[in-house]
Amino acid sequence: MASETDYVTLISKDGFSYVVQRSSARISPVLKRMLDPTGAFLEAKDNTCILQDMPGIVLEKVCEYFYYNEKNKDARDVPEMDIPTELCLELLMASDYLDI
Amino acid sequence: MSLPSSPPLLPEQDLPTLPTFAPIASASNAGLRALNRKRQLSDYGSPSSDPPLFSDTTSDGGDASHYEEQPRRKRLVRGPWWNVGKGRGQSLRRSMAKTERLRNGDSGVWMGSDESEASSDCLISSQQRMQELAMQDMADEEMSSDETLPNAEALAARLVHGCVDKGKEVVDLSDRGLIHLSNATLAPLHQLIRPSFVGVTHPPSEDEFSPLTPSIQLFLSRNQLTALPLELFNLTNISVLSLRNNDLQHLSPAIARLNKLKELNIAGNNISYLPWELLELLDRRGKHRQITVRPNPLIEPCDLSGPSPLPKANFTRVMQTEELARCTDTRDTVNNLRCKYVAEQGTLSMRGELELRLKLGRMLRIQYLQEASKAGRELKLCREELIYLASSAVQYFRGDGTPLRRTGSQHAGGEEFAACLDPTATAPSGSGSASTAPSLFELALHSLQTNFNLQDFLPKMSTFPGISSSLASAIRLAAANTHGLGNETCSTCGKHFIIARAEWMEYWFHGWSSQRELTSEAVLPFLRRVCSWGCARPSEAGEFRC
Repeated sequence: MASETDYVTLISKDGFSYVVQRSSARISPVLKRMLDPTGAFLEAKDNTCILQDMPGIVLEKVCEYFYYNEKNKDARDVPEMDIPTELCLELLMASDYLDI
Repeated sequence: MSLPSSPPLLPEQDLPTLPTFAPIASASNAGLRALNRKRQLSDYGSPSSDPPLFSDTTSDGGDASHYEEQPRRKRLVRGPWWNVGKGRGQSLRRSMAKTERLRNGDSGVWMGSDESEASSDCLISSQQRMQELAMQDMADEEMSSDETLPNAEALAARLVHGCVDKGKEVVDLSDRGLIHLSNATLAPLHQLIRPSFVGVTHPPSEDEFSPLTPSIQLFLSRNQLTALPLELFNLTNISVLSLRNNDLQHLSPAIARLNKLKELNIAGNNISYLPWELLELLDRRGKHRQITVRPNPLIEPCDLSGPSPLPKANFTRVMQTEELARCTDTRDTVNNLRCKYVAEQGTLSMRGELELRLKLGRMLRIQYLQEASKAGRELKLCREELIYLASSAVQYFRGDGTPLRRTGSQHAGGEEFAACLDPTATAPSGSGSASTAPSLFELALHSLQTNFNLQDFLPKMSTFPGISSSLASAIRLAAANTHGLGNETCSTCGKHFIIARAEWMEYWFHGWSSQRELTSEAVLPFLRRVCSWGCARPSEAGEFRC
């Protein structure tokens, strides 16, 4: 079961699950360590992370950022990502937690 | 037909001429008056009754008999009519009551002022009064400012006000014992305008039509300032700024905003490195700028004392023109030199490496200039060369601004900003490490900064659960940026950022082309800060500015 899949599943506090590319999610050192197949974490076995502190709407933005970052990795003029006003403090805390 | 056309008398006209001008004598006038029963304007002695002089019946001869006998004497009274007899109001009223039966009190006829001198006196005295009042106001203002500001600064504020009032462009606050300078003290300089041409001795010249934008010369030398007010960097009209002999620890990157700066003196402070933006100031093509940096305890890339480790013969050989002419292999030439040196003398010290890089930069610069002159472009050159020498190891930061642990430990215990050959050796590995995209942390923080009033939020921050100390300090920084100088600018891509992701020191040679060897006086350290790990690209060896 410990095989490394292309996609991993992120599950929010309120039960929403998001399937994202492993390569994108690995930009977060926290998720990378969790999902490291050589590690002994349960998450690595299931390829699933349950993020207990994150509501679904925040996790959705986080996943959006994963792809935004993947897309703009080498871009010259990086467009600003749209951050909803009401979410920015929660997103700030989420990004602090995920170290992205 | 002749109308009463005598012009209204000017107050300057002499008294004796008046009676001859009186229009009553003319017969035609009399007829006219009979017709329309209107008094012409010229009937009045003066255009208005403003100079308040009027006649007053004498009160001494209260009796009717006396009144009939004597020709009526009139007394000129200065001042408004209601002030008449204020001092002797009692007696006047009594006498008025006496004469009331015979004459119906006041004649009711207003006589214009004939005495022009009196009116001008009046004007002068009122002007004096106004001046006195103004002086009082000023005194009051100064008193109030004395209460709010410490002594030295109150004096400085007064000087600044004086300069603004007189339109003086040289604001000399040097040697005032200033310890702190607040925004409010410098803010009046925004209102300073250049005085228009007023000299009467010269004929009007082109200068008269020059713009009123001043070029402020601000001298703050020989004080004990440890920080500069933010307002200083908004005064974009400053052309000369002297901060000599203060206690400044660093110079703000906002110095680049003063784009009209012609002269900057930061000598004699406690500055150990310069902002990257100052390099741009040093290298503004065509504009002559005089920037005095030394003496300051600036950090050095390595030990630069003593003679150059490179043999002299090498140097002269390299500078020969036939080798310079070959544009393509300049870098190869220097590489060959390096190899030769290593083969002959063993390892090359950092000092030697810097000298080699200086040569490379010089050669590339000369090549560039030759090409430019061949192409017929006109170049305005700085007198000093500006050539990149080396940088320190890049210090990487996490998204929240905490430093990433260094992988290599070669600098442990050593100087933090010592020059090294491979500045990006400590770059974090892994996917996305060289990304130029902003972090989610930065994005969210920026959104928080633009959409909320962080000053209000800061006191409540501790009540929120889950805010780490690094997050709190980041929010505080964002709040400080909104109220201060704004966010920093990435030195690589020019984007604004709140949290720097990497910083390093770059050493540039700034000196004369005639200088053969590196000396510590000719090397300037510039701190670079960038917005992302992808932007952490130190300058390449051989880079130069003209």
